[in-house]
Amino acid sequence: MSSSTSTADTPRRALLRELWNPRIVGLLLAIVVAVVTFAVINHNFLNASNILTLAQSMSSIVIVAMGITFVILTGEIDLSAGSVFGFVPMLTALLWVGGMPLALALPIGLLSGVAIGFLNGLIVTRFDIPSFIVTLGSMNVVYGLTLLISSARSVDPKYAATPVPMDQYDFFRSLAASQVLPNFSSHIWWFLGVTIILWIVRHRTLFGFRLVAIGGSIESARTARLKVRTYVVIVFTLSAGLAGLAGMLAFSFLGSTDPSAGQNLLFPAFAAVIVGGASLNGGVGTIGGTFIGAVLLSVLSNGLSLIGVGSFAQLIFVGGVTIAAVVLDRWTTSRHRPYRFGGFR
Amino acid sequence: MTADRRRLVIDGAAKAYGNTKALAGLSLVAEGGRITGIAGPNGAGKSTLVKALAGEIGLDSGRISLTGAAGADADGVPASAVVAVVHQETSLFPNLTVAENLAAAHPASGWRLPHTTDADVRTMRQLGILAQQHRRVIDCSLVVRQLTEIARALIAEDADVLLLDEPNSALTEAESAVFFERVTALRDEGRIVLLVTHRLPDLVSYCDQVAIVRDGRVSAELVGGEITEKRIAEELVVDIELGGRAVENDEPIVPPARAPRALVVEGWTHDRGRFSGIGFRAEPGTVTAILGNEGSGARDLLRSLGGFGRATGKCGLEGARIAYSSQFMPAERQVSLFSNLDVRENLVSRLGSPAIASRAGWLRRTALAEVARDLFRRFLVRGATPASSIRSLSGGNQQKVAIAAAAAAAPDVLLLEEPTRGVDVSSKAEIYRLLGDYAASGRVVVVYCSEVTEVFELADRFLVIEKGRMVMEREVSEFASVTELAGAVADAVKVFDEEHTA
Repeated sequence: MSSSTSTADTPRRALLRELWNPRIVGLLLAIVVAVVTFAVINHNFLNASNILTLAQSMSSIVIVAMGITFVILTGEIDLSAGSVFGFVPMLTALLWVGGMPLALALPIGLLSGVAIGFLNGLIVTRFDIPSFIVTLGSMNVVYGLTLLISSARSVDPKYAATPVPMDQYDFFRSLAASQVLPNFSSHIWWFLGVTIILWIVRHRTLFGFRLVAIGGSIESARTARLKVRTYVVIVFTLSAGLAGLAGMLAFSFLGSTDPSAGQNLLFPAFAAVIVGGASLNGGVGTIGGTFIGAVLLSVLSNGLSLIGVGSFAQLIFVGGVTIAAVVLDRWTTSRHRPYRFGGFR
Repeated sequence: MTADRRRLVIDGAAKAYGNTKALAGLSLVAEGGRITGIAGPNGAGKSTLVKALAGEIGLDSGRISLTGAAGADADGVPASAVVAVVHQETSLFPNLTVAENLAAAHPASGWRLPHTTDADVRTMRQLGILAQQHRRVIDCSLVVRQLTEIARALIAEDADVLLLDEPNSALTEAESAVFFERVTALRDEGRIVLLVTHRLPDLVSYCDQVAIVRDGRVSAELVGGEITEKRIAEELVVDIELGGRAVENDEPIVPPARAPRALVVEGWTHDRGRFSGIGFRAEPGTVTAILGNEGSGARDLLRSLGGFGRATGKCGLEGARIAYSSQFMPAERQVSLFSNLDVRENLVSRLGSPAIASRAGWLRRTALAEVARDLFRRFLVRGATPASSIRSLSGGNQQKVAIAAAAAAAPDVLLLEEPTRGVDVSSKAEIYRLLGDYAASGRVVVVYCSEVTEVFELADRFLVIEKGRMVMEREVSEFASVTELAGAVADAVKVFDEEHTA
């Protein structure tokens, strides 16, 4: 048997294969159509400054959606990401304004996010409770905590009763708000960096490989002696950690943080994951898909704003697009795949 | 009575899945007032026959008809409308009471709430479950659930034909007796009763006629005094011709790191009582089979050797009772394979560092591809490339992938459950050969079998488990033919059963 036939398809082509599937091609086409439409209606759409604004506005969604992608890959769900997004920066802001040096307040904030995720994962795995219920609960617990500690008021460290030291303030703002080029804020680097790192984790590590296997069949994974519980705890920790990081970066970019930050983020983040081709049943989903899904949703919301569609109508639009994407996917794949997902002959 | 006796006639039923003929012109006549048993090895076409009778699948050719039914024209009516099927797993609403489950089975009555009718009460009285009518199904014993299932089937369609598919495999001996007492009463009313089962004693005790199904046909029909356990066992195992396909397989298997040692099991007892006091030796270089029916505890025994399900006692490699590495392959491919991964990924799914990843956890992609290619070739996976979807493979090739994945880690002890379930004959021969090769590398292979034929073809030594006890342990080479082996097993089980019912 000649070995060259099989060599032709080494995992080296993983990226190519990931991009070359009907779902991704369809999404790219949809993006092109949207871009052309918006550009024709409003010439400002393709301005360099608008494109950079668009990219910056994607940052939070992309980082949160990446964490959610990993959770969904294992077949679980994390509804608490939006609340963690608001809690982490609020905790840091209050500690900081209360006199704690940033060097301490910042890691404590980020670790609190990690701890929430760890706890989510622990409850899900130890007590065998559906993650939908656990994270629905923690979503409210964490949001309630945020409102409680902040007395439902937003915090701006620069104009607080006792302002924070200027050098710390400048450093903190430089994390996401420094301008590499005019309008090209470092916020953009962060989400690009997170995407690349997570793509590597997903496609180049044993962890990523086993995660997908667990999502495909938790029973098979147990039979294969994969440490299912450990992996599930890790993805919840990762998801909340990333949501916290995203919240912190948004805080750095804006200069102030609001207790309701992140409350409107959960749907777009999930929409990006779902539109990007991940299956809520687990085992199916890619980093590239989520990224492109986020791009499509951001293009839509930015473009709709530019052509004068209000934010209420945008909600309807984005919700509709999400459902349509899934319906379209079901409709096209069911013709080619006689067997439902998970079905064996 | 004889003239208008109802008859279920299956005439030349054929059904193919791809190249596999599940039913190859099966013909059978089942008469009213008799219980007709259907027995056959796995993959013989029994489950396809059940599905066809239940109307779940259509036939490629042939027909199923019912003659002499009251109200039906003599030429017959489509049988699927009147066959009530009772499966091992009940399809009742567990949160409703027995009576409510029956009421729910009534034909739709518009806006009116379904309610218990006189007919329901009659049926429940007849089946002896009237006293339980207000208990929720979830609180009822298994036998009551099975009888409720029958009652519902009778009520919903006033079925002429009752098809029982392994109805009592989860029932205890005493429960089975009650169950069959009621079924016999239904038979005496003149209904046609079909019983599909692996339990030979039930066929002997309750059936008036037994059809042996092999390779999609009825290979033998036994009536009256011919129905004995030994005779059925012999009919079940008439030697099959294993495929003569040339197997080119010279790939050496990695030799074990230490000297071959036997797996020694002593006083091995399941924590939840599925088996107790089991002791045996599984020699390296050989295949040991654990033979037992569903519910006998044989399956649980195999799983416990791999650490799936708790048991106490001694179990370890000979010598200092060394802990051993093991891999376990379950029978259902849904729980042994990953449907979302391709063939290559499935092959290496149980490997880690250093085979396919560095110690730090980075995938070694070239090594992964090589390991997968090697397994793909060594385990004779056909009809696909390593990059194909696992679902595109045939059952036999999927099974080879599952076995390869388990063997890939080169465990000291390889544990497999029904390694050739749902596998075509030629793949079967190859799988036997592959497992033999794996054992020959100096390791222990233990398989759970429910078929005597498989034991004869595959194993060097076997033990028989019945009701959680080991009733027999012998070398396969002591038997000249599979028929002889089957007879000896049937005798041993019978002797054991008689001792334990006395």
